[in-house]
Amino acid sequence: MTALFSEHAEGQVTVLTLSSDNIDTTNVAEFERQLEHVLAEEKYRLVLDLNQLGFISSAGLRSLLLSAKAARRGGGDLRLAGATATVRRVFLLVGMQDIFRIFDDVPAAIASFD
Amino acid sequence: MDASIRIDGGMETLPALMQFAEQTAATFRLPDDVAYAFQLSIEEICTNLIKYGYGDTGHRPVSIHTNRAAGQLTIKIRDRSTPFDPRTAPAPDLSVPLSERAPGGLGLYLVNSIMDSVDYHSDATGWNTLVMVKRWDER
Repeated sequence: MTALFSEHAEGQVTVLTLSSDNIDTTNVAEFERQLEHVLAEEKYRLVLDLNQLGFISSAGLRSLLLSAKAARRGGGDLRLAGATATVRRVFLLVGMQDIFRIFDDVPAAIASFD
Repeated sequence: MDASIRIDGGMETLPALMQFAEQTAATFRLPDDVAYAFQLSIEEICTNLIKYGYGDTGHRPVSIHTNRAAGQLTIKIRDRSTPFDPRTAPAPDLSVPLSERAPGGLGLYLVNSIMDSVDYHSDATGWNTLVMVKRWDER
């Protein structure tokens, strides 16, 4: 399976740039496996760049919740950035803004860790 | 315009269903939000039917028929699983730990929220019919 996101460091923060345009039932297990690999390297201050994301289903939302929980257990957080208007409307429908810190762009999400 | 697909199997049928939804959304020239609602409904409803409605045994037929008219998309899904009215799915409480939540609740809540109307009935022949409609301003 190809990488669903690329990874680079910005100081103490790890930015994960999603390259898949979907997170749904068909690829969520692989997405979780790749995120677990990042967390296993004790990278807990994470920004997920959702600029490429066109579609996320409840399976994808659940995996984001689980990953955020794991990042917080490690003393960091999983913060979301760059989601399209359509994806943000779905986040609002399920109350994701109460659980996640969601930013318009990656630099703002990175700066929020300072 | 109309498009249909019929499946009979387990979760391995989901990629074909998602491809159907994506291709049909493009053929129908649906606005982004409507295409999203369409794909979401197909995935959430069919995942629930296969995982929870049918269980692991026997035939698991699901047939999907879609119609696109001016400013209106209608999705009709028929199945023969244990009857369950998706409109009765409660709103999810994200503060409740994931492990304590009822399976499938988040997805069905999303479908109920994102579609303009959801109708459901089971008939004496054992078929359940779910009809979902999404409308938009098309000028």
